[in-house]
Amino acid sequence: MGGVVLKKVFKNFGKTEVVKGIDLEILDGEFIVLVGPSGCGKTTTLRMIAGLEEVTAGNIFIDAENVTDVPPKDRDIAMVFQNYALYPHMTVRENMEFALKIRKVSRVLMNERVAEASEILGLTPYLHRRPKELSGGQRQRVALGRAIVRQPKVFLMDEPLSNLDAKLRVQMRGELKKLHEQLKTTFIYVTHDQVEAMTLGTKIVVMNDGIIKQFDKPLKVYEHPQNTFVAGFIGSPAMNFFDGIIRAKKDSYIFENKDFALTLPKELSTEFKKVINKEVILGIRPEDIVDYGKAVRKKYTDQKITAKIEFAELLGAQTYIHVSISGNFLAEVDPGFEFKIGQEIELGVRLTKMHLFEKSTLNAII
Amino acid sequence: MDMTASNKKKEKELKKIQQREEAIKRIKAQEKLPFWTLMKYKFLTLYFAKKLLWIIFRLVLLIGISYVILFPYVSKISGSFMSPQDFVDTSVKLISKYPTLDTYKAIINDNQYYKALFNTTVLSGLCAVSQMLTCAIIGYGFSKFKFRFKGILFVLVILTMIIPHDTLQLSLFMKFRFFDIWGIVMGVQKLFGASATGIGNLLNSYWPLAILSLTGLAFKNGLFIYIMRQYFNGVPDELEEAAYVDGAGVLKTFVRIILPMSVPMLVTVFMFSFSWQWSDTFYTNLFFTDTKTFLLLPNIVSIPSSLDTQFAAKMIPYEEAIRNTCGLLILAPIVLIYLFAQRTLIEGVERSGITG
Ligand SMILES: Nc1ncnc2c1ncn2[C@@H]1O[C@H](COP(=O)(O)OP(=O)(O)OP(=O)(O)O)[C@@H](O)[C@H]1O
Ligand SMILES: [Mg+2]
Repeated sequence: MGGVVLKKVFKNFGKTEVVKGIDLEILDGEFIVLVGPSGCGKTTTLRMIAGLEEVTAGNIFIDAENVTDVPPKDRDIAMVFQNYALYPHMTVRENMEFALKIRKVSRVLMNERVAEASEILGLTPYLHRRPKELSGGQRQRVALGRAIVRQPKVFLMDEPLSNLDAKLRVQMRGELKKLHEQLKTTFIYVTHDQVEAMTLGTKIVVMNDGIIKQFDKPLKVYEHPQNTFVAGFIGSPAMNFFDGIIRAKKDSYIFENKDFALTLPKELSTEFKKVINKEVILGIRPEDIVDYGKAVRKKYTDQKITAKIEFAELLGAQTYIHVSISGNFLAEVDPGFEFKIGQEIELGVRLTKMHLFEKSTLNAII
Repeated sequence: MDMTASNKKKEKELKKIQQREEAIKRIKAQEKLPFWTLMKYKFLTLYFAKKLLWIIFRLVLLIGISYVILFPYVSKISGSFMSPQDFVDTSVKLISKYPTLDTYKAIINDNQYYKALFNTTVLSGLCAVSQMLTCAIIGYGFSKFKFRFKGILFVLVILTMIIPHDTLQLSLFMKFRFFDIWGIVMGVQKLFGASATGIGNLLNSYWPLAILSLTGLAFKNGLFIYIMRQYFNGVPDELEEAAYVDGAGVLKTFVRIILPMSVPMLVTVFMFSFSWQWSDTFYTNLFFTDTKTFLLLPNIVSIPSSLDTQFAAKMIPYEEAIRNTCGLLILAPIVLIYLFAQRTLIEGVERSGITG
């Protein structure tokens, strides 16, 4: 077991910079999830930790040992690949045993570990089969099993669940979580599915364009995104953004744009002071924009915004309505709420849950 | 447009067939109509005529092709069991009236078939194994590693495929008649005042073929390297990476993961190489100038002495039959091996996308 530290890690493929200076400190036993849009360098980062990709600049430490120039076979890590990469000519048992055989582990110990791992993963009935004769989910579990029997310092996983159907994915997610609790080994897990990221990670790393945008606990990332990228990326449906300006008026602060003006909560005044008369971006999640009646009932606000309903998405548990003033945004109403497309609606904003970003840097103010 | 039109046509036909079948069913169920009406419904239809015509056409085609391809073999096999009387008797065409195994016995005993078979098997086997491994290693290198001049080197490999090997006859002969490695040995010999002969004459030994095979320069090895490279290109890199992460180095990965999973491909290369070496006369004639190393092709195709005295020389058809029997005996082991390896072979050929 061990922690993983990346210090100013860069990676170029030829002239294109893919990873641009990553600093990351992962403690022993953490379950870290790397998320980000496609092509942001998650896989590349993971492969550098595994040693499958050379580092252009910077250093990587595993268990306090500098492994930057250590070949993958000596790093004592296990990796689960997106397409499983099971050895096609070996049975499930042989697949799991391969790494142990290379390490010259005794037969007795090997049997013990394979039995243990296949018990955890429910693979015992399939030990004699070849990968070809397994379903996608079973192959997935073999790939996990191959990693588990190793008892490595770090598990690396690259979108291991992306090939599974929705139901199996949820189930495997649960199993992974259990596995982590049992083994207490460091996991580094790549995905672009933010639900996976939120549910699995003890901490998540949000990446974009080769840079870490935020590294924090899942709830922290959701509630306090450090910049507009994280705010827009984490959370589904995505956060609404409104451009505008903060103005001081008597003893209160106002967010103002051409569509509406909102008096901001007093508790946060110290923050607003810094950006008076500056351009800002107000971020509010759809679930914090509700119909005015509900907003008043729940004591969110007493201010109204009027907008036109463009269309609606009925998801059963809740209803999202796409509304417009001059720009479009998304609001959430209760499933029973009655409305007509094209009608004007009065909305209330839960301003205690607001996010505010500086327009120039896109970084969070609160 | 075309597609939908043809689809509609097909649908129509299908409907017709269904209707007819339903009619037959109904008729059968009622069992009122007489037998002949039933038959009429069944056989006196355009549909049935079409089907019948197609069956006949297919049969004729198959028989025709089989005749062209198989007849020479059938006639040779039947000829090999004939005795001299059969060739005098004009009523004998394909089936012998006086069957005998004498021809086989004579060839096997007089021409030392088993000795030749053993030697050729050893030679072909050694060549095939070493070519298979060498070409796999070279192909793997070309497929998975980056190194300088890779492109140019691969073009050179392709060139060995293109250059007709007959043009190399003399230079190959001279190379192995006066063999040396870039004159190094000769230089050392000169240095110590010995007679400068280099490594010397390698003809009439297995060495020339072994050296060519181990360096991937033997007959068609360019093709084998190409086949293997294509195959390895199709092997996902993740597989090797998984092995690296599992703690295996490059060599272990190659030996324990890549080679075992390439068995169909390796068998294919082995079979090609084996059978080409088996039926090769170019290299064997070139490198085995005396008959001491007794190999199948150059040596057993001759009229056995015990048959020679009787008729053979005077009766052309008989002589031909004897020679054909020699040919059959040369072919037989290869055919047997192909039969055994057929399944893996087909798989391999399919994967390589290359035939013959
Ligand atoms: N071997 C390579 N050579 C050149 N460019 C590469 C190579 N591998 C990756 N890249 C580039 O690096 C960038 C990051 O790739 P990477 O695979 O790390 O993305 P990712 O975050 O894993 O994306 P995804 O979610 O789609 O898997 C991409 O723009 C990709 O085109
Ligand atoms: Mg990726």
